[in-house]
Amino acid sequence: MNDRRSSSDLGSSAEATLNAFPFPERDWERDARAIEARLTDSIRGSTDASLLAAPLPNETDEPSSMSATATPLTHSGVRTQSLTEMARRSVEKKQASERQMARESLALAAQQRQVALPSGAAPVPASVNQVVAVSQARESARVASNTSNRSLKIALAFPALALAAAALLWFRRPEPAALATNSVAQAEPNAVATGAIAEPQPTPDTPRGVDPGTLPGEATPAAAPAQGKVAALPGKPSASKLAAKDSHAAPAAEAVDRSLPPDPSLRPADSRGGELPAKPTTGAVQVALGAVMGGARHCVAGDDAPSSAVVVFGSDGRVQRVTVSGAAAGKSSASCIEAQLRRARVQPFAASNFSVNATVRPE
Amino acid sequence: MSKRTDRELVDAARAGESDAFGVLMRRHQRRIYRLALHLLRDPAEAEDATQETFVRAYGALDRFDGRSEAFTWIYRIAVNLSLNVIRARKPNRKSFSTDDPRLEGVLVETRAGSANPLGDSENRQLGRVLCEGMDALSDTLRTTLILVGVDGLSHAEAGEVLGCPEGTVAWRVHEARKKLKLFLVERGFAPKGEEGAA
Repeated sequence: MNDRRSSSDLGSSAEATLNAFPFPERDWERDARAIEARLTDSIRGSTDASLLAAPLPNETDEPSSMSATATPLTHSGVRTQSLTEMARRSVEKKQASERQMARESLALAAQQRQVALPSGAAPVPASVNQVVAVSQARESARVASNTSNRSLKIALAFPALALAAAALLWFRRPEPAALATNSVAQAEPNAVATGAIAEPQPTPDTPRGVDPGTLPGEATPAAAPAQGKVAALPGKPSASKLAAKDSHAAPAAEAVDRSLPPDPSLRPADSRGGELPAKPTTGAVQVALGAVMGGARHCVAGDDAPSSAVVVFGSDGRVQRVTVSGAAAGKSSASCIEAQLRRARVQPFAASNFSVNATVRPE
Repeated sequence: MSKRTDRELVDAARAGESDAFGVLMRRHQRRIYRLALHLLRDPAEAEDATQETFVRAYGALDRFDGRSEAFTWIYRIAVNLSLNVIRARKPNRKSFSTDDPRLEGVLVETRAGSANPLGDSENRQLGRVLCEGMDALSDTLRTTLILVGVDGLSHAEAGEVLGCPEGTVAWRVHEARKKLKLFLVERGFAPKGEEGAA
């Protein structure tokens, strides 16, 4: 009938014995009177609380929370949970996960604003090579001249890192590389301020286009705020910090592309050229955005009108830039939407970037 | 007078009605004894555990919050007490199938209508192997299987007793059955129709 059932079906004789295991009769009334005799001496409230606790440890290979599909049939072939109940639990679990994700994104956005306010400066446009060449020297100068400010940022960085680690554990994606870069991207403003970020810093000699993790889409935003502080040029409002950083990342990505031969057949085998598609397919983009749209919708829960977002994918398949307009524009929910949509990933493609419009409707 | 529910009896006992708890106890003492017997495999210990269960339940009546059924709450106490007894035993103690109290019931049952002596013998042997297989399970799997497979609790009720979700109960029962089946097959008790496959 069913593999899961047959693998545990004991056979009719054994089932009958198990289900109706007889036991010797006793003088139950005598037993009951013996118990009643003890009750008279019993003191109400004297029972140890440990006797009322859940009794058994989990099995070593026991699933921590059983999914709906993992519920096996009973030996009689009847499911003990209705399919409706199982579906409801599954949806509730997913929604709880997305709500948690949105809350973490909002908290991160709030922390980013707090860090940006005392700095009083916005990031400056820069190419990858410029950032790589001067970032270490400037970081040293900045730290030496402003140690008290650094202490404040260190204090702020730890909660952000903890949040990023919690988000990592929560999502537990099957792609470790994507996870690592995602967590760094979420924690980068504070982490850069303390110099504690674990991401490898590219040098001018680093071959470009070899490791997607060091491509400009991720590496440049990490270095840009530090550089921006030294340059102290007038910048954009802190609320659009994430988007501003990405606007600096885009020229950097273009610089990398310009350094490669125009003909894909002449590009190195390990570069982003080769046999990549010219641009991501519509289906791939829909899947990528669909995977993160749930979290983005939580960001605008309670809004009356939908918001729009322009998502720009870099050639490495990662989101370079998100621009939010509509009801959420200028609010904290815009940063939340950005953080959610930035998690989208498509396969690498040959074009320098690819834009797509997305509508984020309130739940 | 209509039969009162467990919860009504608990409320009455809490309010000081002396007979109410006695009614509740008589209603469930057999099942509690059977559970203790299967867990402890010793009639004297099972009797003690049954007595102790009701005495402790009476002592904790004020802490019964009504979120579960009264009998699952009493079951939980019985399981905890039985496990305490098992843990307090000397590590080298084993139960012997020759005087296993659980088999006594099987023997009595088969002897009563022994029209088929060969079948009786096979049933006794099956009962013995079944008990050995259950003893080979972990406490967690064995207790869950006893609650569901032997005592007939639903997965939801067993979940209340054990403090775990229904899905976990279902998984444990499935695992226990799978291991039990393997144990039976290895000893020549393959389910009908699977003899060749086994």
